[in-house]
Amino acid sequence: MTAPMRSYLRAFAIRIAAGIPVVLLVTFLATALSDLMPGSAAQAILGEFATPEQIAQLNAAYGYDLPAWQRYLRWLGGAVQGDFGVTLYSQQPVAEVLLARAAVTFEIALAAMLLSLAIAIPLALAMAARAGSRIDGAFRIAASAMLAVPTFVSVVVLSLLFSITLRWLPATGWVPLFEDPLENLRHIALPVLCLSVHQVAYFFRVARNEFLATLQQDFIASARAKGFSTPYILWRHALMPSLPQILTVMGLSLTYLLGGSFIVESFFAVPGIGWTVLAAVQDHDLAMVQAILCLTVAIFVIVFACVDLGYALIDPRLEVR
Amino acid sequence: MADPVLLDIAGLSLSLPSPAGDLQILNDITLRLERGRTLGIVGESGAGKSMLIRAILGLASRRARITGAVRLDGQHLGALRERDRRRYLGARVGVVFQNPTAALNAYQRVGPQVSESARVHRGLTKMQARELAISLLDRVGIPDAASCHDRFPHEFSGGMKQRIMIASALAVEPDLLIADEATTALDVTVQKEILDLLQILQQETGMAMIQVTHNLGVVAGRTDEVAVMYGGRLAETGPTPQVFAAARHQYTAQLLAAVPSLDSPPDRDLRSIPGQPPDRLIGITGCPFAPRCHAADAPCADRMPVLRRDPAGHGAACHHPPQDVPLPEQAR
Amino acid sequence: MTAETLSGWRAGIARMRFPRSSFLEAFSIGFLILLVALAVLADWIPGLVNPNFPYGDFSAPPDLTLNGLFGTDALGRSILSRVIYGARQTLVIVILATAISMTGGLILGMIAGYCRGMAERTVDLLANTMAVLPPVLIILALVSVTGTSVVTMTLTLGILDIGTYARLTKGGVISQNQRDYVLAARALGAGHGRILFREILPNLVPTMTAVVPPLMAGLIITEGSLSFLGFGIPAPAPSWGGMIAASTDLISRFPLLIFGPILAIVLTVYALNTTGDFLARRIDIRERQI
Repeated sequence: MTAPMRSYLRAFAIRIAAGIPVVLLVTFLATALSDLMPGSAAQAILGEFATPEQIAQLNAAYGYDLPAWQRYLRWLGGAVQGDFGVTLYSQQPVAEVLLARAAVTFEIALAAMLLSLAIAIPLALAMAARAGSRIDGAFRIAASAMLAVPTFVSVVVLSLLFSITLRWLPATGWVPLFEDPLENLRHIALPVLCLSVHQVAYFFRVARNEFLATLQQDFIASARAKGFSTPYILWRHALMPSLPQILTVMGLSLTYLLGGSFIVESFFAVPGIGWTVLAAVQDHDLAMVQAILCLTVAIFVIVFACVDLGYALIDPRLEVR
Repeated sequence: MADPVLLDIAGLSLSLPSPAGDLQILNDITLRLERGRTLGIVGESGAGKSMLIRAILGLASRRARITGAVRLDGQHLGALRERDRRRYLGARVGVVFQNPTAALNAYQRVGPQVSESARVHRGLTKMQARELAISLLDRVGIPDAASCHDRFPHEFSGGMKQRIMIASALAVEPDLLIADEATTALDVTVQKEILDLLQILQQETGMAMIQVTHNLGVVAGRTDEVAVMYGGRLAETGPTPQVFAAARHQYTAQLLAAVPSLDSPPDRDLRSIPGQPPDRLIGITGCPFAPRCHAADAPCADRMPVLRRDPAGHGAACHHPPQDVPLPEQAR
Repeated sequence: MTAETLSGWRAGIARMRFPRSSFLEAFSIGFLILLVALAVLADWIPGLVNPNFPYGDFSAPPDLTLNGLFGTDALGRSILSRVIYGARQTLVIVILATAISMTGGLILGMIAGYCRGMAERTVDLLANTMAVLPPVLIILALVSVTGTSVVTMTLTLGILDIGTYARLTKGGVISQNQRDYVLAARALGAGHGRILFREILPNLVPTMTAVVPPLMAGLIITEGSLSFLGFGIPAPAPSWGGMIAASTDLISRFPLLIFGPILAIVLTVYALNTTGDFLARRIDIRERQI
């Protein structure tokens, strides 16, 4: 292993370690949630017709009669070994169920992010180069209009258009990627498009302003004086210095994509995290809710560690620490 | 190569539209530069020096209205399509800007930046580009050039970065090197090193050079010709020794009295010119310097003085040339 | 220059100069005023029917009467009336939540920015944690134990944005703290309380007003998402998200009935975002004048 490689790994580990308090805080609060339930938690979960035996059984399995800190230690002890408990009704291991669902959500979120970047970045470069022109103005207005469309509106409008009116794409359902890639593509198309409406506009807006700021810099003027063509200057000189900002925005957009997955997955009946959490909320399946919160926070800690290291990879002036 | 004139600027004017009306940025600039010679363009900030350079290079804003002609090597640049002009200029002209820290791309290694224009305009291979970059870095006085090739700009000092900028401007073996305030941002001692380096490089390559500066000390003794700009116009132009010995424009005379040269003793009395440069709304009829000029009278405010050159090329646009005004000791 | 030497509330208000607005900005501000007026005056609009009682045919298409402008829903209720009353409900939730988060954020942010050190690190940790988790997820987690309730949702929405306001306040306090007028006040022997509330806080007003509209737009989207999913404002109370969800069930037969609530929410979010840009531009102009 080379020396820079080692220092990157070390810096990555330090950032992950710094995120551990956040993970602990959120998961503890998730454990304490059941204390907010009116009366006995077990009673509230099972409903008013539950027998004392059923309540005792539930308490034995999930520890709802224990104080929150004891319940938390118990959960933590299992979690470090990969045991996040079992689901309330089907009694399957939470971790197993959740991992299968997470893969679906990530496929959609990743596809939406890549699609949005692929559209927004070249467009933003082109518009920054002709900032202030009429076409630039038109795209800016279009972007702020798209930013005003919530996901629960885009799912309705796009499915009305592509599925009900044009009948190009299936309205609901899911086919796993490895079972039939083509059908999978047809089924993720609408969810991905719906998430991308907002993301394209968001990336375009941030990237355009960032490119515009880069294009004002002296090294762009010296590249122009050397007689390079505009596309060459945009691609070779303006893109790289703007990347840190775009990377930050990519990390932040994950919050939006995950939040949007609740709407998209419930609307299109896609078995991902969002769909799972909605079912868990209805069933009062607290083990599942807690596992999802834990997974989400952990993902953010990892993503922000990557973004942070990404800056150092892009900008030679920064040192990895 | 019969024609000794390399750069020929004839009646160049440039105006920019603004909400308050058109701004006359450059007004009837006529200048010539012969091969291998050095021209100094002097003026306060806002005098139009940088705009003149941008207009020559075709980098002025698209909204700018330009009249007059710029010829490089006999080629009328305004007659070329933008793409062709860019290539034509890129292969013949090198530019060094004021702030080397901002003018170098912080995200790219130094060597590829130095050889970039040769790679684009001459299609060098990677190996050729590397050899060229190292030899150029060596030539501008970067120690251990081979190992510097793969380092980033932030690893160098300001003076070293300016040397790197000069190396990158030399990559296409230009006929003309434009140094736009190239030493302004540097320490005084480094300024002198860079100016000396430019002079040596010019002698070695035989290229022509334009030194744009607000510092007469940079021009003194290092240029063959000098052009003094004020308010977007040429105030005075001519062979440097003649202009310094016998300024024919009140502005030049006052500038010579105001600006210390690099070699002047620190306790020298420094006089400044009172007042502000004029604003550029079209419609000024008189001499732009009149409001700040102690020799100005009524005709100065009404009538634009015309620049007439003597056979040596020395001329000034002034109604009251200061030959009879005793000048203080001059920087030479 | 003058704004820099002035201090106190008068200076904060003196900074509220307005730049020229574009057509879209003027439209946005006008739309917001209209929306608030409709929501406040809903009960007194002549001829507007009760949003919860059947008014005409089931799922009648839009026509040119007041109550039928957006059509009627599956229970025969006027969609226009429900959109207007839905605006009232949404605005109440969003304004209360904003009041909570601004108060909490200002207090935490001032403590963090003025005391720095441990207080700053703690507030940063809380702010970062709250900023990354999708708000819908946090509220859903709470709903899983408390059940749907407007009070829980309002409180949670209010708490979620505390981090953002705290971060902005903290940054503002730190930058203002080094300016000349604060140093001058300190040299004159002003106490911490006086410096914070009389000197620093007024100068944060322009920045804070510029971030409120886009954050409100975010709250409207979160509230709408929850209502759309059935975990927000409980039926039969009118809500934009709930109305969109309800008309979605019948969308293949009555596609026109969905546009009323969609128009309302998209225009409101657009108007809030645009107003935020306008206010931010105003600050830029002022900063350039100094």
